[in-house]
Amino acid sequence: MLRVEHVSKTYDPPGRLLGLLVRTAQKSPVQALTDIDFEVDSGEIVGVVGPNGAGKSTLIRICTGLLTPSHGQVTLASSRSVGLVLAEERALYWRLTGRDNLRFFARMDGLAPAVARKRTDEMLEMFDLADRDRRVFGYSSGMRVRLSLARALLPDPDLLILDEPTRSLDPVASEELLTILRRLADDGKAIMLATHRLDEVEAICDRVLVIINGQQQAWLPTSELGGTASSLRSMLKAEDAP
Amino acid sequence: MTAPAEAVSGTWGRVAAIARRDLAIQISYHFQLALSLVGLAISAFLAFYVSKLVGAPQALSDYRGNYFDFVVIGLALTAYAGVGVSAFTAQVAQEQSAGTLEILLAGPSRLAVILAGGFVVPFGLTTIEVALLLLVGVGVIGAGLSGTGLLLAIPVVLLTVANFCALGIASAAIILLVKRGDPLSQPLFQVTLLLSGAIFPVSLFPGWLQAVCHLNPAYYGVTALRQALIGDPTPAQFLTNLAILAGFAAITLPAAVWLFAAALRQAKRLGVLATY
Repeated sequence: MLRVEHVSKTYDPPGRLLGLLVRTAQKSPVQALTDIDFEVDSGEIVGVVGPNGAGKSTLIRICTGLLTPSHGQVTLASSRSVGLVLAEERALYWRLTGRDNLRFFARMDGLAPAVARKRTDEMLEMFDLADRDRRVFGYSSGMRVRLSLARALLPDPDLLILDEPTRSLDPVASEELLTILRRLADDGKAIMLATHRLDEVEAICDRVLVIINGQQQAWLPTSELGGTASSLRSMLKAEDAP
Repeated sequence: MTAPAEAVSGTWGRVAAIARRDLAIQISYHFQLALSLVGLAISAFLAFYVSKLVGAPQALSDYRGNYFDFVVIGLALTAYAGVGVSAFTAQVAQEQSAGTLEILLAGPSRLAVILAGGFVVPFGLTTIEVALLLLVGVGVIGAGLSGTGLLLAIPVVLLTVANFCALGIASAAIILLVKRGDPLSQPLFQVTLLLSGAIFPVSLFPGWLQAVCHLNPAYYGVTALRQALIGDPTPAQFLTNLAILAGFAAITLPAAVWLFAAALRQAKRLGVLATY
């Protein structure tokens, strides 16, 4: 479904002329990803795991065409659009209701008006948002994440890409979301889940890509994580410590 | 889960969806909306009292010698010019800060459709503002604008707006990269208006500056609009101005869209698409 071949990304600072206009985070080239190579098949969840700053969000943006890789290529074997859930809760129109958000994005996904309405109702029902349709600024964090996921599923994409969707959720809401993702994969969707929580990966992912400092450390079935899991767990725990 | 039917909406469906979204957001800020709609109409009274002060100057003899009629048309076109320049930069900045720009660009909608859709509501609201301005100007204060000239004004307004949209899209391209403080739109907008004859006739300028005015598409827009509403032009004069406006737009609009696409490529390369 998704094939990522030898992808590298270097964030180069802008040239002299462009530098007059653009401010980037870095003043010298930063190697964000090096030779990442993996694939996501239908019916499986691939976890992309690594500490903060490992390059997970960079990889997600490259996979969705929002960032140009310096080397390598990404191939998507599907005519349907990719469902994308970004880490930010902001990627919704907060002045609109959840229903209006979904209807808008459904139309932007190319669905005809009647189909967009039907699909919106289905998604609101599926994510338990139908009875609480109010402006998004009145939503809780969990409701916004569920609405983002509902938005991503509107065009019934074959591939779903999520960037740390449980980051702002409480444990119960996280577990509910992971259950939904597992069910979607069992229904045949390919899912790429970026997270820095190893327990999530072990709970629902079929294969795991471990990235540390932009380097691909491991690409293997979750059941074979073994020693990698314990060293990674220590690294992630150290990072989460206050 | 039901798979979506094959029936899809195309370009116009997406443009309409963006317009509905923008209208709903505008209405949610109802107080700001009401204030912005009446602001231009209030300026009609300002122009009326300035016109009483300046009387009927010789420089306006080609336009029935009435400054109020002259300047109301300039204000109307200035409003349209303003929305052409500012709508796209505002749209890009809002989508960036809302975090929705990446979601839209990751989807199947074409960039030109997203930009065009985002212009519908600002253009519509400006048309309401201008209608209120003309209502106050003609109905209350008594500007002598030609009713039949309003039909002739439509292509003039559309072509003038197209030229200002080009400037606006170019500005939005810069905003995509610099995020704030677009150096293009406001300075060029001010210079363009100065050299258009919107507030006073360019015949007051020295000769060399009058020549510069002829390089400015807004000059032809303002001139043609006045010809339509308060002048008495020959068809050839009017059509020449329209043709010049169309010629400018045919060059500047594709160039601006190209510039925006180039800025988008740079933003994707540098990784600054999501920053704001």
